[in-house]
Amino acid sequence: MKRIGLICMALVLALGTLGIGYAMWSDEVTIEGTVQTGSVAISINATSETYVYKNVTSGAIIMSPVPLQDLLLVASATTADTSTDTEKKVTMTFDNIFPTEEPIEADVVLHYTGSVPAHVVLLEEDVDPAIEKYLIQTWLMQDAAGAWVETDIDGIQLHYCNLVKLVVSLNATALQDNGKDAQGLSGKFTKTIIVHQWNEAWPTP
Amino acid sequence: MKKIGLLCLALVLALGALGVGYALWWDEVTIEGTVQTGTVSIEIVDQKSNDPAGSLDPADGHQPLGDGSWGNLFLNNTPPNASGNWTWYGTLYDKDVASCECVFGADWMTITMSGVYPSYGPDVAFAVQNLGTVPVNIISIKLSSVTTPQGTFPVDLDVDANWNNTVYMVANNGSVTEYSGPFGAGFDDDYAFTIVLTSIGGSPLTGVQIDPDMGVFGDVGIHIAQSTIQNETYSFTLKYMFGNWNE
Repeated sequence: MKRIGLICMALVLALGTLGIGYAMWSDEVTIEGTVQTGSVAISINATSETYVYKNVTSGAIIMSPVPLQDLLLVASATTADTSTDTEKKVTMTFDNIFPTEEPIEADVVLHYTGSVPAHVVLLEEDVDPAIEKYLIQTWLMQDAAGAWVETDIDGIQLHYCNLVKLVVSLNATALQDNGKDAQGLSGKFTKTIIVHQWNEAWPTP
Repeated sequence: MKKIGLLCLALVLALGALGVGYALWWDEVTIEGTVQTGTVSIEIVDQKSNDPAGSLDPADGHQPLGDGSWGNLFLNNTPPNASGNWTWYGTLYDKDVASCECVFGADWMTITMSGVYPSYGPDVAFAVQNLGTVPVNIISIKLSSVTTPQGTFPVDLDVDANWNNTVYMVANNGSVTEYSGPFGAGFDDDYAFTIVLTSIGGSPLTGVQIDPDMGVFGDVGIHIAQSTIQNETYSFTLKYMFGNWNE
């Protein structure tokens, strides 16, 4: 009996010893983090075109932003989104242009979709000398009321959802004044618009 | 220990400096364009005289100077038909005394009359075609000079008026007189010759539109008048001005 008592006492002590381990209270703080990077991005939002027709019955000139039927198509200024997987590109085509009272225009609207404010850099453009003096390029920016305002966009800041528009036409007065010299010309132009985060300088070449 | 600290500091600064260069995010759009301007090009493509060498002489000429006119023509602003189809209808003398020949280039035409005499009525028809890419209209037709035995005289006179029977009488002193009838015998006896321009359908040529590849018919009639001096040379210059149709 005495032995049983010793065994029980040893058991109780052993269990007590275990209790010291089980009795430890604990607490913790978990720190989770999510990272969402911003973006600097510009996209092609819309394009518009001009088709110039002659009404063969009345002889009237008709300028339309959309193709029309049953009229003699004389000239056109069209814009197409010709982007690829690796390049955002707009192609404008001015065909059979001649002097008109209203300019024969093509335009493209660019949409700043980045979440980080950006600066605009216009790279030096490449224009064939044959057409350089006739080319009119106007940049506009949409104001808070939605109106397009002519703007020198080189160096301006863009914020999310800002819209800028490039309108291209040929100078009718210059075409008229240069007569035969302005006829039958063909040429190309290329311009590149870059947006980069506003807090860093664009590297100068 | 201090040396290690300095090395770490230098490494951090170097990495930071790299970061300035790598930190620039950017995007771009390229805009390419091609431009092709149109052309305005009107050329004389055909002609026909009512009195080539070897044919009987026409009397008095085109209406209203005489009773003549052209037939089997092409309509304005349609493809020109060949001049071989054009037919002169009008009174002919029963003799072949004079002749009227014509040569032309893209933008000029020379009419040469030989052996002419009062009441002889030569006429040259011609076709012009729009070989450009833009529709055109006839802006003006002007008599710009006359030459008589007394000299060459500049003139600036719109002469697209046959549609209301107006002719232009040229005197030996170079003066030009508009005249709209009556056209009885001897109406231009005091002048050297009379010019008339005609048009299809009796309508003005000014304002007629010509689309690319299409053409318009015109003709120039002359009536040799009583005051023409023998063995002398007379000439005149007409200028047809074309422009893009929307101006």
